[in-house]
Amino acid sequence: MENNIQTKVNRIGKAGKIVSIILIVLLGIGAFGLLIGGIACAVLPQDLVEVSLRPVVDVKVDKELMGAEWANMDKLLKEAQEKAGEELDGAGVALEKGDEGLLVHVDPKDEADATFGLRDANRAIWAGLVGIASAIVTLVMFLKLCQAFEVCRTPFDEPVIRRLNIFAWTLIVCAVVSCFARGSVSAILSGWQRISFNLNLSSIFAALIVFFLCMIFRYGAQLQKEADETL
Amino acid sequence: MANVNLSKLKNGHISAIRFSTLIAICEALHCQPGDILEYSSEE
Repeated sequence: MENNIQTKVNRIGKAGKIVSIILIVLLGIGAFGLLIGGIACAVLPQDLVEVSLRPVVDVKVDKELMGAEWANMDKLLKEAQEKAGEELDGAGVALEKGDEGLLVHVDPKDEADATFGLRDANRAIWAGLVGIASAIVTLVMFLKLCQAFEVCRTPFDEPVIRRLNIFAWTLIVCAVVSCFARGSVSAILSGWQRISFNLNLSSIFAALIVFFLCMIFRYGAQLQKEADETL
Repeated sequence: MANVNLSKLKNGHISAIRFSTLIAICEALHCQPGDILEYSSEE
């Protein structure tokens, strides 16, 4: 392989190695902080803190947006109260005319408060730590891949291909694990009222692209071997 | 010829030869390709 191309490949590997080390350190610091928080939540008395979250929405509609309707706002509000007062109260909707516009306050009464205590916070922290750990493992695999690029004579080499393959598999595993971790954290912190798991498809696509690269590099390794064995 | 190529020739790591290389060798040794290449069956 030409020296300047090989040098460029080595330099890209070195740059990738530096970036991945920085990201691993940052994630490690975040994980350490979460770990301290998790231990604190486990050690402190469980009834020390209880948090209740209530979904309340306040919407302000500017009077200029309402145009000519603003002049009749008092009459419109009175009509709304007469016609649908009970329904509005039942849904927790309150309409009020302010100085600068219409204020809509939504406080749904039939929706239970989301409450969580230290034990739930502890579980959420451990779920978050699992997600961060999977991201760190993926970054370590990427670091090893960059190290292989940094020292390789040619990228069409067996160690590089092997590490590309491993990196692709860790991308898929990380996508699945972080999906469950994120879903668990949001479910716990919403008092198990909102449970949703969203798979990060971009990681899956990235893993597929890396698998394709593996196949291309394998073919390249075969061509490299034939070129090396040609006098 | 570089030492690495000589080493490959000696250790049997060569599976192909470029015509340009073969021509250069024949010019240097003043011989024909048949003088330096011989076929033998794998038996």
